[in-house]
Amino acid sequence: MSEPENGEIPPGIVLVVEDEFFIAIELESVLSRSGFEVLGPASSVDQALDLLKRQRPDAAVLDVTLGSEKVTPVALLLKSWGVPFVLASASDPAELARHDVFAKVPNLGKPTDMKRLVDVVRSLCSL
Amino acid sequence: MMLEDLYRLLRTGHVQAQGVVDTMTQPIVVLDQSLCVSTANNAFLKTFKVERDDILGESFFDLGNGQWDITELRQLIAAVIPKAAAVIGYEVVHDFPTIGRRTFLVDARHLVHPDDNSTNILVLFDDVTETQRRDTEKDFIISETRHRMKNLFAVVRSLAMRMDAEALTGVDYRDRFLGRLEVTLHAQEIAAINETADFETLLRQSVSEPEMDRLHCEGPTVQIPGSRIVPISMMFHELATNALKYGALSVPKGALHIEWSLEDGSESRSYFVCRWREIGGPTVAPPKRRGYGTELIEGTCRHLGGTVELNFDPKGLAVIIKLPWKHL
Repeated sequence: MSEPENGEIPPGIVLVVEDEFFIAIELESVLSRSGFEVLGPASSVDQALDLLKRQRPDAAVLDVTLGSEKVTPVALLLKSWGVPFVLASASDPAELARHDVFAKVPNLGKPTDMKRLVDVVRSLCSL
Repeated sequence: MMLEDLYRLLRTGHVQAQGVVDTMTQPIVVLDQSLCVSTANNAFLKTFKVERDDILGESFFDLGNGQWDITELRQLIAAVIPKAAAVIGYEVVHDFPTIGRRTFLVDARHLVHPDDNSTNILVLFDDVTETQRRDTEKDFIISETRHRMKNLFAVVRSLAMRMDAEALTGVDYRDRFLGRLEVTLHAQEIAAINETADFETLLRQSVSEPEMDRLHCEGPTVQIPGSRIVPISMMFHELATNALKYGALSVPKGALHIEWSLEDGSESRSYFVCRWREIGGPTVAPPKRRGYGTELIEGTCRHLGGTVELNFDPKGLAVIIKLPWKHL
């Protein structure tokens, strides 16, 4: 992972929604070290929606369970905008399949392979 | 053998067979060639809340306003008749008007009468509604536990990744790591058991026992929601550890003053504001580099949508933490 070279256009703005602080800052630092501009990390649905009011990302990394709530409203908004996203959730595939908005969305699982995450986010941003 | 003996033998056999059938806890019904009920056991009557006289000789699929007229069951019985076969464990889910939604595993067996080749069909029901419900519940609990374990492991991994390791001995790193891990796990334990936790209680837990009388708290009763118990505990643990090592709690005269309140902000939003002041400690100098503690406090506040001001006043560290607040 390297710093973006001077004058290079950043590969994209990435929204990060994750309620566990340590995981959130790990995601943030990995993505920003890979040259992405990170929006967030947000720890709740309200906070993520607030951030989305101000800026539209190119891609997003979402955890599904945020304390006692689910990230679904954020996913629905992103979907309606056509912003691609990827999940980084410890949830069961069967549980995720019950929500239409998460079906067919890749889940990188938890603990997340950060190298793979960067690759996936990069491919989403270049869509 | 006398006719009377033969009769007695047959009768004994019949009574035994009837006894076995009546004792069985699974509902059983026997249908004749035209699919009318020729007999049913007690469990059948009890399970489906019907009277024997109301069903004997009646067409099975017309019983109780056609409540048995279930497509799957018709198909099952239709399959059994021509093949003279047995079908075992065929699942039927149906909403019964009197007993509600049930899941049965149905066995159907073709019985041929030795004399006239007439056929009877024995249908046996195994009510698995409750078993299936329990299985679903168990699956949910297992999946939830697995989810939490994975999450916890990811937290531990990130915690280890974030901590400075440079210029530390292995022993120092281990001790600091375990100290922080302990706070995280302890806070997670509180969060797992309680929906909310009292702020002052969390605050006092982050300061070690001997220093308790040098901790001055002032503020209303505030309940911290479950999702925020861990980050808030960790933040105050960092502040308290710092105060104990370098700040006001590192000298006998020093003290900690902590005040908090709920305040209204713009756009009808509320904020939880906490002011941390260290008094009577050694002269404070701003840290030369951003350490783990500072990063954790600033990062946590930002992550919770709030702000923090760290004021390295030479007379004592002053911190103002402001977090958006949803009234419970």
